Amino acid sequence: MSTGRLVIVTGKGGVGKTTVAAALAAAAAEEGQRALLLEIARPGRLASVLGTSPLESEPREIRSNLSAAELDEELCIRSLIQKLVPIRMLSERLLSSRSFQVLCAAIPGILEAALLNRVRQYVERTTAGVPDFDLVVLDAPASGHSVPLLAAPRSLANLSLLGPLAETLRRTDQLMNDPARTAVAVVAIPEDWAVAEARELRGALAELQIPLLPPILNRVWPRRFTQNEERALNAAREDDSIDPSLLLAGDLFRFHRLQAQEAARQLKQDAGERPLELPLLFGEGMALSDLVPLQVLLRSLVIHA
Amino acid sequence: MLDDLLDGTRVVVLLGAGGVGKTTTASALAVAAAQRGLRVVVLTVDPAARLKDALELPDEPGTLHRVPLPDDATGTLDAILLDAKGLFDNLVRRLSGGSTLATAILENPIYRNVAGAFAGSDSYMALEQLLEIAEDDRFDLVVVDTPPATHALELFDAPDRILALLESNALDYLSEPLRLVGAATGRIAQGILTTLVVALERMTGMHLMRDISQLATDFATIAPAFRQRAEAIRDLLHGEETRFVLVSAPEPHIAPELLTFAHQVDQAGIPIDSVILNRVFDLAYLGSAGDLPLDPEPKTNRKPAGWSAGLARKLVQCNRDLEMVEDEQRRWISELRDGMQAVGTHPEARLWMELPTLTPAPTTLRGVQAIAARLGHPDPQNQESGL
Repeated sequence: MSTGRLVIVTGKGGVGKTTVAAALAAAAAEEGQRALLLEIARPGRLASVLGTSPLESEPREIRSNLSAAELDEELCIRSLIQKLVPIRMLSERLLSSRSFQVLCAAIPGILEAALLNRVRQYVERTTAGVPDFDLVVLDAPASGHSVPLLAAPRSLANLSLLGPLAETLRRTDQLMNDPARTAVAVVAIPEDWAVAEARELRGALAELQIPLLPPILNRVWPRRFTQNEERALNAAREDDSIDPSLLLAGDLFRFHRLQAQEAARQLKQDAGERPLELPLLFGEGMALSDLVPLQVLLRSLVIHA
Repeated sequence: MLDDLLDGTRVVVLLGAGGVGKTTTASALAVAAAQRGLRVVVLTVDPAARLKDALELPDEPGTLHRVPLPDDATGTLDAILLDAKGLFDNLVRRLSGGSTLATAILENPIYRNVAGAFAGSDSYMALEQLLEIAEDDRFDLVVVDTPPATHALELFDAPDRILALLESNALDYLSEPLRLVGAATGRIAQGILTTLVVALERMTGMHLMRDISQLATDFATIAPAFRQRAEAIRDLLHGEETRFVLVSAPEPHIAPELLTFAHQVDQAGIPIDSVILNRVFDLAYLGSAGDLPLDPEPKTNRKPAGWSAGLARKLVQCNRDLEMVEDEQRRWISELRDGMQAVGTHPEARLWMELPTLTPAPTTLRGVQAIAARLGHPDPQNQESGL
């Protein structure tokens, strides 16, 4: 059976997960792939990055080949229960029961599993044997909440559940572990904590045998000076022959460049491959049109994913 | 400025989106308060727990660790990473009076999982931890570093959710799963009931069902004591001695969210007492902060370094780019200040503090102390309050 592929984007808070997820889906759409961008329904920024009205739970095409939707926790639970208890009256009864809600809250990871199950439904959704979406991109929560999310189908399955729920969880878990269909993109920026968190996260995901894309290093300051020019700058500093504010501006670019190199080196150490670097955009706000430079770089990733 | 925030305050809760520097700010605030003679605890609820990096703590959740301070500090600083499970265990033991009941609950096969999920108990346990420290008279102030944005809102809701749960009949129902569908009479209703229970069993496995029911029965016994704790937590959060600080950064990927989040926080009934705008890019400050650690002599075997018109142009361009960042931030900041005027009932009473970007970023205790010094003695332009 032919299905779409899933890319999950995660990383420390504030590293630009939403931007990278949007750029990735937009890059795929440019390539003529039908892309779906999913955001977990917390009052999110995806709609503002995409320059569109608030997202709904049903995918909406926001431009050619690019659709977006939000995953609502309650709707995901609803869809899971309705699938498991196909008699509508019973499933409704269950869902409206306060005790059942408590029971749900008491089963660890059921919410997460329901969310991922919904994601899997989008990935596997077909019309006349053709996948509805070639690429589904999930804008996942920050690192700390991301591992419990992705581990949920596995940890639930460990409760030795029976019947249709177990089967559903097993299929979701299989999707999470299938390198032909799924990959996680861990995003960092060239700062110590973001890099540390990206490395911890990649380690945790590798332990869960979840396939990983090369790490993505976002907001890398551009390289402005040749080595020769850097020597000239050092010499100028020594003899005070340069306006200190200009020297500071140069130093900031050089320092951030060094930091980016160090971040790339550390990420490469674990990943075995260089991170994909995305440039810091100067003086540009966040709208889909601003993501074009990111798209060019990400295109190669989409093709080879 | 900082004194205004700390005056009569027992708890400071920091809220904000991911990546705005909440952890650094919380640590710095705690250091600054300790330097003023307060006995401070800083608590992190964020599962990513960068607090241990900022304050150079060992990775031992649930334990207070003393943080070394500069010699001139008259107070003390302890830090603690949340250990929700350990705390829940202790709470169960304490509330059930260390009886066999505690053992029954703690040894319930699904307790371990339930303890981590009961009505969002991670957030609830954070508040339980907060209450324990706030009640401890060895300490004057608790600074709470919360998880990103909306997870923090859940945190604030947690006592109400747990109280609603305890007040509903959910525990009774759970202890008798057959009551899930209510008082069913008649053959059809009985049939539905049976099918439903079968469906539930298939979904969860019979043992899980039985264990939940047993746990619910046991737990119901300690529920009244639990309710008292939840009420105490709610009172603490809504009390005069708790202040909420919104942390943000004037960066294009973060700033637009601040106002949305601020309104959500306000609607959730949380008064925002103060805004700390972190990482304000200030070239003048960076210029006064000393030289950056650069590679002193890049390796090259090309012709000796010389000054060129091209290099001068590049420097001017770098400077122009950075000034543009400064200008853009100033626009964000004034928009944010205006926008925040529409949030809450007394926006004029709100404190507004700005902290400069440090390069390199303050990820060590020394960096945190530099921010704390800045927080304690802001420059004159930041000393106005509100607008």
